[in-house]
Amino acid sequence: MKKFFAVLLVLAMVLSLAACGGNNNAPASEPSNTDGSANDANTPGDSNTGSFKYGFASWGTADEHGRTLNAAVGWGVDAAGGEFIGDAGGFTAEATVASIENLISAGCQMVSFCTYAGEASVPTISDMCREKGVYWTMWDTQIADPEIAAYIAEDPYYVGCTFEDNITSGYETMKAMGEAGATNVVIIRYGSGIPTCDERCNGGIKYAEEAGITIVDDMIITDTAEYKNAVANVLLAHSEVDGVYLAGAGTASSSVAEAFRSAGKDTFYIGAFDYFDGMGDMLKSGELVCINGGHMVTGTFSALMAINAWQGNPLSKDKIEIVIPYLTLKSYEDYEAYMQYASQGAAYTSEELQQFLTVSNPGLTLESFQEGVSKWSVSDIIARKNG
Amino acid sequence: MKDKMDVKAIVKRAACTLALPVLLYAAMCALRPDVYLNGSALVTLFKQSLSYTLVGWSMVFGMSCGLFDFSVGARYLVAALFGIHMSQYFGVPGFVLGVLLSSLLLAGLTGAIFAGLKIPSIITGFAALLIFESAAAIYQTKFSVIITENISIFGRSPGIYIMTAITFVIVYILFNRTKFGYQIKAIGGNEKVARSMGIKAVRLKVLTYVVGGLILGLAALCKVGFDQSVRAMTNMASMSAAFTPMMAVMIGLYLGSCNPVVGVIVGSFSISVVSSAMVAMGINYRLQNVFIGVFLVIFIGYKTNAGRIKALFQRKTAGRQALGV
Repeated sequence: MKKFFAVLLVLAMVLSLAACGGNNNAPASEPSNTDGSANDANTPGDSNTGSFKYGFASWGTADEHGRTLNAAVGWGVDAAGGEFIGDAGGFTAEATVASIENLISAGCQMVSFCTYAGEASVPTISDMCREKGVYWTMWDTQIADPEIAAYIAEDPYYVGCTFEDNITSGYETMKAMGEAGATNVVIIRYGSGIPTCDERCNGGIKYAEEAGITIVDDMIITDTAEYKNAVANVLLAHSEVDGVYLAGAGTASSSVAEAFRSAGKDTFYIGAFDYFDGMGDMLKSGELVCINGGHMVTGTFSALMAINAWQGNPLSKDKIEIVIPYLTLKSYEDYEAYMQYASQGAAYTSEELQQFLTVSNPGLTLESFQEGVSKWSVSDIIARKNG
Repeated sequence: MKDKMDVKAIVKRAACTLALPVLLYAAMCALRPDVYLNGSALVTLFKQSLSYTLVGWSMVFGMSCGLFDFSVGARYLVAALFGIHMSQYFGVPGFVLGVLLSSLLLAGLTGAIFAGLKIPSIITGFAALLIFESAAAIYQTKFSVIITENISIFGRSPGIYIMTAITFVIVYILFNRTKFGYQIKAIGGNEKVARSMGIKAVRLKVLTYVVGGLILGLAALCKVGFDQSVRAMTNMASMSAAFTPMMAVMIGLYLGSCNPVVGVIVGSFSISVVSSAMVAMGINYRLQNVFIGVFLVIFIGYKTNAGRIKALFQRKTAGRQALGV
């Protein structure tokens, strides 16, 4: 009996291995199926019409940024008549690769991801997409490694990337803090060696140097639950501290404010990146001087770039790099406008987003695309909604 | 004469117990007297250590009988989120009941998985962590996580001190004055012997999950108000919330000179002093975890090998005496 089961198990294993193996070497140059059915490879430059599946890898939808980011990709994909498929497992480099693999397996003709876990996985994803004939973009990413940049420049399926001007935003955030009255500031980074985080800090430090603001400490804290104790420790050692610059994890602003209050300080200034639920109250009280976020459209415009390429209308022969502005909130009024038009509803209508697609707007150029993207701001949203 | 001996023994034990935090704090006073030579610094560090202490107490039962549960951070997140959500409908009672009941339920569920499937506690903990982290991440999108003033009272002074005192009394009695506590120690000492004495080890271990869940609920009431932010984490990030309290419990269990329940306070405070010292001395934050890790290894290494170290010194002294040096 045992032998019988052993043979049965071996057979089952062999068969399942054979089934899993499949043919991974399917040529990328197979004729593309214009009905957009799953798993069909595209040939670069082909025109595709009809419905499609757009895969988006992110860390999840648990926080305000993740939630609005995924929703905003949906705006763009819906406007183009496609189906949005999200995968929320991409927190590490390996998991990002697995996410993209899953999305391709799910039949996505285009995929997009971010390199917040590092750039090492980019060549692997490039190979995967090239092999399967899947167009791809990167959101919130600008490749720093020249070798990786050169490698993906040769990939016909790589469309381009969108990213924020973090240095300028960092500069403006520190400027807002300085103008509010901050003189001794602590910088808290949310990770080590993350280009986005470092650029935000570099911008902040640049303004601090120009304006004579003292950077009392520059620390890295990865766990938001530790922010309060870290700031309390800094206040113990440096009672002169009156400002905290959060390069990310804006949700920790309330912990930071509590640390100031516990230390008996009522006047302090917080500048932060990444929106969070309680930011309205903190903007109202003045504890939060400035918060940057709303860059969820990084996903939207990456999607529109990829869709243009998939439809055979690439915006450029070269790889595209689009700069996305942050939505910087400095007052409760800004916050209310953001909530009403961008968080709880779609900041763009389908008709507005279709203007970023060549099939609907034949006069679209890379320059006009970038120009349209650059308008993204609270005042632009209000003007469009009211007008 | 006997009373005198008792007093001497008590003083010696108290001195040994307090030696670690007192020496650490004294070192800091010597290095940065401007920062640490005042009462407010001491109060700040003590208050900081309370959230570690409270979470540590929820782990002391399990760890005393050899259970390592890394799901504590994820369970805290779900309980805290549920409590905050309930507070939006039912105010403070909703918060208290929401946190306590969900914490109990999740702990019971983890214990049931551990006992029902006979999976080692560490594996159960990881599985529960992944499930609860995902649950927290999904749940967080359903409402606005805003911590109001009224539910923060447990994490602010004097609420946090009162809650800590109440929790201390509960944990101390459960650990030292009940059959449950004695049986935990028996299992922690030698499980085979304890089983042969008729102690139902599996049932007891499940009970440690449930009791730990209740204490974690009390800790969560304070921690929400203390941290002023609760954010769902994914990809095992919540595990870091369990590390510092776990280190404090280890110090507490290895101290030897005092009850582990008191030892957790000592451990938490010592870790808070070390963390604060890093900032005060301007040590790069990247190195801070290295220092805390080294501190833990040295401390537990010394405690584990104290007998051997003592014997080594005694042999050297005896050798010198024999040689007449």
